[in-house]
Amino acid sequence: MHTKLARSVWQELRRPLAITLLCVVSAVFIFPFFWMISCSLKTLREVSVFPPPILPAVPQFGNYVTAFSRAPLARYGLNSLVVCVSVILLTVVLSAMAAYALVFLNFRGRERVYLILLAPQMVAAVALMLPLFQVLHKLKLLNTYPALIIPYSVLFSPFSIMLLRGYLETIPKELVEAGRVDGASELWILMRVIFPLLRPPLAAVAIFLFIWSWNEFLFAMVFIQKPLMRTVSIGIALLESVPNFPPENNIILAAATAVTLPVLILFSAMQRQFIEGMTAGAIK
Amino acid sequence: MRPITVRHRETPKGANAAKSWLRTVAPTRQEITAYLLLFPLLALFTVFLIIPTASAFLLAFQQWSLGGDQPNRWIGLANYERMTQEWRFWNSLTVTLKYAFGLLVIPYALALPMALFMNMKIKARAVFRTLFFLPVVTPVSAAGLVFVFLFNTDFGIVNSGLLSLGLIQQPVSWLGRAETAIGTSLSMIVWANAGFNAVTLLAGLQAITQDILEAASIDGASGWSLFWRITMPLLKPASITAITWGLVSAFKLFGPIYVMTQGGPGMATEVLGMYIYSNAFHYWQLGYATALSTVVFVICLGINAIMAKVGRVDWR
Repeated sequence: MHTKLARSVWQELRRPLAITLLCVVSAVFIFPFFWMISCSLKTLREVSVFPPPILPAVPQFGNYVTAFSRAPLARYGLNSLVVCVSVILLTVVLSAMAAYALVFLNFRGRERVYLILLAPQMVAAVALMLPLFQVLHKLKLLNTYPALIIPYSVLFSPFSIMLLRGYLETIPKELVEAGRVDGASELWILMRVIFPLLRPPLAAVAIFLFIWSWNEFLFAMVFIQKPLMRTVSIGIALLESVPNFPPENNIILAAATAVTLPVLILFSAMQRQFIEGMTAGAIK
Repeated sequence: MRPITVRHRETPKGANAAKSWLRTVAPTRQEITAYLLLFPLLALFTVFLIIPTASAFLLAFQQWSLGGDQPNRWIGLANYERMTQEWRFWNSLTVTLKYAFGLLVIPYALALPMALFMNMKIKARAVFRTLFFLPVVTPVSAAGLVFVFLFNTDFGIVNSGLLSLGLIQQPVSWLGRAETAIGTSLSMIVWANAGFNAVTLLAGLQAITQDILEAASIDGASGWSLFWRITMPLLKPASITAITWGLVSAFKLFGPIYVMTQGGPGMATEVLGMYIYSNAFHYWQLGYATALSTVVFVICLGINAIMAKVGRVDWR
């Protein structure tokens, strides 16, 4: 049925066809981003008209200034930044300690502890939200930075531990043994010998933690109610609820773009480490 | 001369017995260090994960308020009884299952070709990988806002495009009509997560080394049969991960729903997560909402357990 000619034509066409399909799919994927940026630069009229223009006639960069005056986006950004950086510091320190113990130290219950440390992955954030809310309330931590920093750290540490553990297992134990023979304490070995070697997986972990903490929505909405303490991901959702007619979609999307750009840029710059870290974690 | 007999005591008695037993039970220096290193993380886990989870199962049987202005009242199974009788609960369960079905099938169906694409040897491979992953790193609220506007009835480009292509006669209220709301919100969730699933599958694909593929093609397999007989079975663990993810994530859904539809129109998109939030913060039915939370806990645990078992079954 397939002549030799047809088959060889198909073989030749396969690659360019696949690549074309790839480009089409990518274009569809990217379209929402394009639309977000394009609409953020339109005038109010251009987002309130049908059919909508593909591109703004004159880019309204002033929309971004307006967005920042409609909601304290800068303050939200600062809150998010504080939370993200703190989450990274806390999680990295704690999970490095845990991963080191899990790999280089022999102790009873090692496997059980590892399973416990992976437990947060099976917990649904929505289910945890209410009882955790009560715990935070009793500890008087609501509406503070730790209200987000600590739960994020707990939720994201399994990932960190898995990556670090996987990487640590490739480090020869002789290194640690040498330190012990020299009389160094385990903590010293961890800090001076092992930690400097952890740069690759730590880079991936730090990127993940930053992006996840920046984007997280549920806890950020429920645990922080004080307006000025809110994070950036809630901040833009709140903008939508301002009653305006016609709705200022251009300003709203300008805010959304402003909030998304940092993580998009961070990710694009570090995407190699990100995906390598992810695939390593998935295989191990 | 009498032979000298030495009676050798194997088991130590008295104080020596106690000492040697202690030696086995007492922690070694390594163990102490290990416990010290693990302590901070485990302490945080206990306070912020284990205790809340446990207390959820206790609070589910009570009627409680947040300020603690009234003492908690023990009401036994009343919350769970109420659950079985409320239409809205069963509705939220059904809606969640609809999303679960969509999230089981569609992301996987999309992610598989995407992973195959990303595995191809093109120079611009990294660019495409980044592009596919960008939605994953986008904030939920931002993505939700864009999609809401994309599908806006009056000003959205989806309606505009479809109208100009002649595929529809009139602007469709995508998020405003019960029939289309789930599909529309699902499209955003799928868009935001397909890249993640693709990377998971990609990890599995890259483990299928060239040697395996060459060995198979020497044995006569090629094209489709190569794909189905060799690649797919080797992808099983990664596929199970991807499908489990889809199933569980439906029960964890909250952010996208809140930003796009708030559960509407008329509970059409009210998933369990949204229902819990609604009961807790719109109606202040905290005991009931906690009881619902325990149901979600158990369901997620169950799914994880089942899929772990499935992962171990030998499909051959």
